[in-house]
Amino acid sequence: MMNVRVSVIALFLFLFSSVLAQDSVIVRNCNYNLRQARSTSTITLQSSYAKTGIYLGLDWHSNLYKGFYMNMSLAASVRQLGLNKFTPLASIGLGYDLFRKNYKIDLVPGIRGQLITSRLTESSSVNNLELLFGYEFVFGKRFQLIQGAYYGFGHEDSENFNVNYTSFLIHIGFGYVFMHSR
Amino acid sequence: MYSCIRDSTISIGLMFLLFSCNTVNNESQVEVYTHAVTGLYNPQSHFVDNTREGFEYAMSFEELEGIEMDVQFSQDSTLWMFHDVFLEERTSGEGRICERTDEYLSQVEFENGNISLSKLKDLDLSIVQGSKKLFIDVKYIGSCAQVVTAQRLIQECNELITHPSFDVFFIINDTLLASEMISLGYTVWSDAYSFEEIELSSSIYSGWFVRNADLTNDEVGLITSANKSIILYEMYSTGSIRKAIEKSPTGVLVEEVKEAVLLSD
Repeated sequence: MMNVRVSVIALFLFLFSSVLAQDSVIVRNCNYNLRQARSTSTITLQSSYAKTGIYLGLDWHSNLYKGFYMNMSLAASVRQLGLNKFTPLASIGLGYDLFRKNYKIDLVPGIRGQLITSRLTESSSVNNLELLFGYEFVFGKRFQLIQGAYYGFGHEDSENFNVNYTSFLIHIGFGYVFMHSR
Repeated sequence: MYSCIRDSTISIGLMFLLFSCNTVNNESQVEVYTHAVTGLYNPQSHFVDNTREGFEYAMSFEELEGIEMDVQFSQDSTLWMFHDVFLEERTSGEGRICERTDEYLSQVEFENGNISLSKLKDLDLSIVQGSKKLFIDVKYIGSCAQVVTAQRLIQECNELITHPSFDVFFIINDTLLASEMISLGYTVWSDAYSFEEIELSSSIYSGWFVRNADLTNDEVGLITSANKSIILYEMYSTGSIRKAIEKSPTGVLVEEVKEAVLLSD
């Protein structure tokens, strides 16, 4: 069980050390501002309420081309952590910013695919694959408040049973924007 | 900015340390079962509690130690799986199960989804994986005029009783029917709402199902030291599950199948 705890802590320390490294570069090149930047990335600490439970984790999103955004996130089920198990939720998504010219508010409808893997015992695990459609509402420039809601379909797959279900995800998070020039 | 991110990192690290330290350890080998097949009123479950579909899902987990299910006799003396007193609380039907015929009950659907009420005899037992304990809670005996006999109960549960994967126990609060079942060689449990009730209730019972909040560690110890069994239920948070397991009862009922498998590991 100690291994699980150490893995969780190590993973998050690694992610944040990466963030710190990026931040120090930005501090040295402090002439940027959001309007000048051609590209931005946002790291968000977010809490999600999903069909399969409550998750806490990190989300990274970046603008790809014009108003198109891509996001990736990794979170852990809070309840499963309380039961000594690390159940990760990994997701990838794509969205389009409807308010591109407004730097304070963004509304990003999008699609999101996510995988939740629960290892129940040494010999059995359950995988939930979900495809969700929804929006993300972003408020703020450098520091952002992000709220999103998604609805869609899921498929649970275990050794002896498969089931399809309707799923949802509601999340809220606080993010910090990094700027890059291309 | 650097200090802001550093502070966030420390806060998150501490948060995860908190979550990872405040965990449930089932080292005392308390048995873990699911309540109402897949968890009672559990919005995160894919299936409604006490249904055929939920039973198939729960039985697909080989490591699951057992389930508790709620059944009631219809007017035609057939056992139907349902927890509540009145059908209108959660279904398209009305009245009590014991007031309705099998034909009426077969048309009744749960409000959330097109899932029908399930007859106990309709369960598909071919999908059962591994050996399991099965607690059949026969509810609301005596609510209607009908007479429930031990023979009728055994006849209705015969496929489950004779199935090689199941170890079947009955939960019967009616002492007359309970005595009759015990005299036929079956193990019967009861519900209780306090330690005093357990002390006063008939010693014929092998064990009791009690809410976690209604018994202290010492009371659980007194009961188990008298060679009687206790299963605790009504734990929703991981904290309350941890406290229940620390009391070292015979078993606990949890509200999620995957959680039951995980805790029994």
